[in-house]
Amino acid sequence: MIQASRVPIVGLFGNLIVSVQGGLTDGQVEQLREDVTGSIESRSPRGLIVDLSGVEILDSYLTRAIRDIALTARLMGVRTAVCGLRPAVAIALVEMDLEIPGVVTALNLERAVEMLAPVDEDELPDELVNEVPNEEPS
Amino acid sequence: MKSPPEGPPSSGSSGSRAPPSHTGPLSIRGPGVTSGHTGSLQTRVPGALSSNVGAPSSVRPGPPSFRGGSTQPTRLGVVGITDRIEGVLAQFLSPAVRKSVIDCGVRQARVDRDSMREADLRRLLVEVKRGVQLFVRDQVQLERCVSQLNELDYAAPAPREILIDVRTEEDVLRARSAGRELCIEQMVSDVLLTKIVTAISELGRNIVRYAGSGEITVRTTASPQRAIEICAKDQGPGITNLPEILSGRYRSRHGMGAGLRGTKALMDDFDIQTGPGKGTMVTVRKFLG
Repeated sequence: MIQASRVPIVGLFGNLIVSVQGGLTDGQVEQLREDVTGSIESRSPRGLIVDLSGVEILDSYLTRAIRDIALTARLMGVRTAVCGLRPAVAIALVEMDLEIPGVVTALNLERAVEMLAPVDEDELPDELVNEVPNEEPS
Repeated sequence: MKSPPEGPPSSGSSGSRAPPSHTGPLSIRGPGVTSGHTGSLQTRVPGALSSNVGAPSSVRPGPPSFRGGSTQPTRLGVVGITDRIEGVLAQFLSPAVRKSVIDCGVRQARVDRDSMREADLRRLLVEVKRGVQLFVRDQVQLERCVSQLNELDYAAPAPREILIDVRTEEDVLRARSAGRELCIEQMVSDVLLTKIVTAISELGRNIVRYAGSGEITVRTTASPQRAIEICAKDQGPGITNLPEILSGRYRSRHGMGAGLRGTKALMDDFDIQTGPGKGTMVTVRKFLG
């Protein structure tokens, strides 16, 4: 028996990024769920991004697993963004009437990072906003 | 770990003693060499010259009477396919033009004249047809030319069948790559390919989870339409509440039930034979183009 490799979980800009590549066995998916919740606890990220651009297909099981991961993360106070669905995968998902409720979706990793970033200037403390040099010629 | 079958000794492993008379590199042809990973898929094209002597018993050639009436297309392999294309083009184009159409096609399709595979041939034909459209002005002639080229095309992908024993999740992944391989050979679009591979995944998982073991066959069919057919068979407990599952009212512990329903939604043909204690056989088909 070959020891199934784990899906890597990396940190970037305060987010956890899970990049799923290729086909996963159900066992690997199960392992991923544990790893993600473990990482959320130990690294206290701002958000969780599941990058699916390297996934060849999403079947009912993997879809369900991603939903579960997102719901678990939300319970723990972490927002989840799913990104990078290939067009063909998205089409198949729609035809199968499968959804991933409870997550925001983004076109790609970059957009997902943007989405989860606390950008709104209104939300920043005033002193921080004032420090931003505004060099627009008026 | 199984020890590899006979073949060139892998470098560094025990007792690799090259015969002193051999000066050149070891030939890497022959059975066993291609099976780099354990449990690699062995496939066979029926009617092709089989160099795959040691193919395991789990691989069957397609049914002999697959193409109604017509005999297996003679597969000259590689040699001569550009000659055959040129033979067709000779009726429509001058020698210089047809040569450049073919050369251009070979370049565009990025095929190697010396080792062309089925998928390469199909790509090449697509490019050649594109070239022909530029040079054959007369509509009637053009249609004749394209249809003759298409005949070469249809002769190319011989019926194929891949059978995978499914016991574990790894087997399901193997079945998925088998389906993907077949789709790529048949020049199936990415969307269709994704649907087909998804269906294989769903059916395979059902076998592993509910029956324990079974088999999946992926094959191409030519009649009544060109299609990819997936057949998943097991001797498991069978499905007792089929209408419920297909209607979507049922949810298993794993949130499944979506599997069969999803497969049905993805495919064009869906046939299931099951009953308590009788095992389950699901046959689905996706038509190509």
